[in-house]
Amino acid sequence: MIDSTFRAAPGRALAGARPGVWLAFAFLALIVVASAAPGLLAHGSPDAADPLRTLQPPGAGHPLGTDQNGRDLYVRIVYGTRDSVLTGLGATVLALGAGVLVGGLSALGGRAADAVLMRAVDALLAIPGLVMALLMITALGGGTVNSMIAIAVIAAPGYARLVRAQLLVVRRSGYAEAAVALGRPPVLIAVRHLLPNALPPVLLLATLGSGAAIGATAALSYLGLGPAPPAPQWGAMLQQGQEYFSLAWWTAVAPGAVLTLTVLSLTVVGQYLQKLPAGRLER
Amino acid sequence: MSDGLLNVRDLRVSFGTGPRAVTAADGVSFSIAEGECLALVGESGSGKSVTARSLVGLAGAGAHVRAGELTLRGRDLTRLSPREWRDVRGREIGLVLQAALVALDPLRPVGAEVAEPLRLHRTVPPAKVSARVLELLADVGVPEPERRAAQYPHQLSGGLRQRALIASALACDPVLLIADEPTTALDVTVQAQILDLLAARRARGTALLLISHDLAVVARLADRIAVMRDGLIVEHGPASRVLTAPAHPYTRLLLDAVPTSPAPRSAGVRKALASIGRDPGESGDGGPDAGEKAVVVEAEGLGKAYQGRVAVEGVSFRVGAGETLGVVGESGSGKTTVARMVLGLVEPDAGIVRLEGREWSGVAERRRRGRRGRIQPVYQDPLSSFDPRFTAGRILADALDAANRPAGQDEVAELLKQVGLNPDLAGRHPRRLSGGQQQRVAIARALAARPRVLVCDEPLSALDVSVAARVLDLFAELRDRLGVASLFISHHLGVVHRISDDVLVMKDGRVVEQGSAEQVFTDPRHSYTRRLLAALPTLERS
Repeated sequence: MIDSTFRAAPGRALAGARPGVWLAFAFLALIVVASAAPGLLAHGSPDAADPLRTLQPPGAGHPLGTDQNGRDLYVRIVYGTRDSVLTGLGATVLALGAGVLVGGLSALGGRAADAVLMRAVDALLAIPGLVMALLMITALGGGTVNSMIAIAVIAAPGYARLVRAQLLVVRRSGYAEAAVALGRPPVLIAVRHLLPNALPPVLLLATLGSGAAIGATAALSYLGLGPAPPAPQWGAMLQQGQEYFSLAWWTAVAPGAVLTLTVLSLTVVGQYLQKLPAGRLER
Repeated sequence: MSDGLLNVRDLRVSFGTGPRAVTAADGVSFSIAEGECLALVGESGSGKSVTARSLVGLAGAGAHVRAGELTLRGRDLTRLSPREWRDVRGREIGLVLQAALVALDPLRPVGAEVAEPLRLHRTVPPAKVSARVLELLADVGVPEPERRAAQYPHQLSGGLRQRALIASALACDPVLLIADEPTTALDVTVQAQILDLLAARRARGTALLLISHDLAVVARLADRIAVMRDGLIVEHGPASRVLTAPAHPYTRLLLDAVPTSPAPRSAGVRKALASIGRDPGESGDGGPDAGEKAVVVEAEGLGKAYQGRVAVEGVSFRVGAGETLGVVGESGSGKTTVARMVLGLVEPDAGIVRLEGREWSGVAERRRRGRRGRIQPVYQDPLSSFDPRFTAGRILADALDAANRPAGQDEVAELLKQVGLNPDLAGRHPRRLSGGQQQRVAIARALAARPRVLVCDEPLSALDVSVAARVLDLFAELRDRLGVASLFISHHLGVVHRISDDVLVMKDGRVVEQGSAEQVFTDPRHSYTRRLLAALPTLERS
């Protein structure tokens, strides 16, 4: 009866969430729409330049103002969403896949595999992330796909470590032993019992990590290593805006704010999911 | 009701508000006089711990506590401010919590823990605190108090830790000591010592409120017994009367559930013995003639060491079809290691295990896998042995599938019925089942593979007594009906006596006594077995 005293009331999905969580979810919904169908949110072409209306401040007709070429910043940001966000998300998915593979083999594949894989992970973790990404892009060349791969390589070791740690805990559980006692072969135990129970915290980390990956995408494109110039990547826009900052602050502030809000929303949502009672994610 | 040291009248404790409020204590009244011991007995969820905690103002977050009267030495406890409460706790009321093994701060020496109430309440001058700590530790029977006071909790045995906790609760000479399940995590011989210690305090005039789920434990100590169920006191009277002539059916149920020793063997056991042509009086001694019957599982000279420390040494036994071998011993005696070697989950360093006449230990896992269904485990904590994502039905279907048996709804329902559960529970998540139901699901899962042997490691110790008694009956019934042999591991001698044909007594990894249950329990040869039996709480009051 003591335990019932201190048991928290079960949270009902979003009903009890703070307004900030609501806002974060709403903003991410907008991001999804902008990525899938930017035409729904913005009219006109992101590349349509108007030489007569350069560096216009935010106002009627141009809600976020225009840039040095007279392109509408709002339209460019909306059309840039896909590149800016999906590169980060894609990198996270790649990193997660690699992390599950490496962590899984490391935890369940025997002592030798564990030693080799974990030393490789240590080596990757020893190199600072951005330096690693720059090295890779120097080797592979710039562009969307290559920056995605570079960011995935930076993020994967962290996931591999967590997957391995989780699997080692779950492998010692009573239900894993019960499955062994039932005569289940190891691969089936791993797929049916171990991975599904080890992954929820990893997925939570991925939610938080995708924000960081989007930030890293923007950083690479800020350094001119993302997609080629006319493409409306947020990081590249931020870099261009910086040049005109003293004349037109909005050219840098608008893409910077959207980038910040996106990463913040993912962080808020990730932390919210983390605080849910463990059982909620299990079904 | 208002002449005692502590008077409680119409105590009500509830949690939550509105229609979802849960009442934990519903009009509880009692009083305790100086030097008297009142035992509050009930199963989990009966409200006994909440009642005890309310007496020290610690009912918990969100608790609404109301009482017609709650006085200690005439002082109204319901009107105390948090500051005044802190004065009462420790100084006037000492509280000994359950979970003796984890209640001490692992980062502080034991002496500091005992000194804390002395410093907080300033009952002795600071210069004399350390002398008083040693005195207190010596008082509760801690040997070499100087050395022990400087040690950390992990360096002390469970019994010494519980003594240190009691010393800390007694530090300021409280007039009332509340002990909530003070011996639950302890071995029987240690339990007996702690109960003697509490009795000595009572003799010195301390009032004692003893909370327990086990009537046999309180029988030793209590002057009066109050039986709680669902927040109500259903029976309250002198201990001798409650124990010998219980008026309430629930009390009778609790009393019946206490496995006493020596107890009449259950009819099921006799039938099982008769069915394999053996008389309970002279049942097998593990000797040569047992080998001629169908020996299902056999161990020879089993040994196992972990990091050079011997966990098990020279353990041999045979279990025939439909027989139960009870394995008894205190914590650390190597019982669980034996179970894991027999299950083929740990490879023995020495000796061999044979299952149905064929080698079982030292065999490649690949070759063992096909035979694993023949020997199945039942664990102490069923919930942790279930995949947390699975419903009861899916757990059983998974086990049927592993045994290459059809795993449809009908088969699952059949398994549930076999262990006395309603097939409708298949859709339920084990977390939403009671402890007894969980253990039944675990037994059903073990039966899915149609095993010849069950290895049960403390299968009842997480259950309330009345539930444990019913699960024990289920084990006996399954053995009679299905002829399943079992290795039944327990620290509880009464339980082992009730179910076993043969008994193995283990101490420090070795078998100290082995023989038929009758012989071991009625005529123990080894001094350790005699000590275990003497320490077993019984309902006969000494």
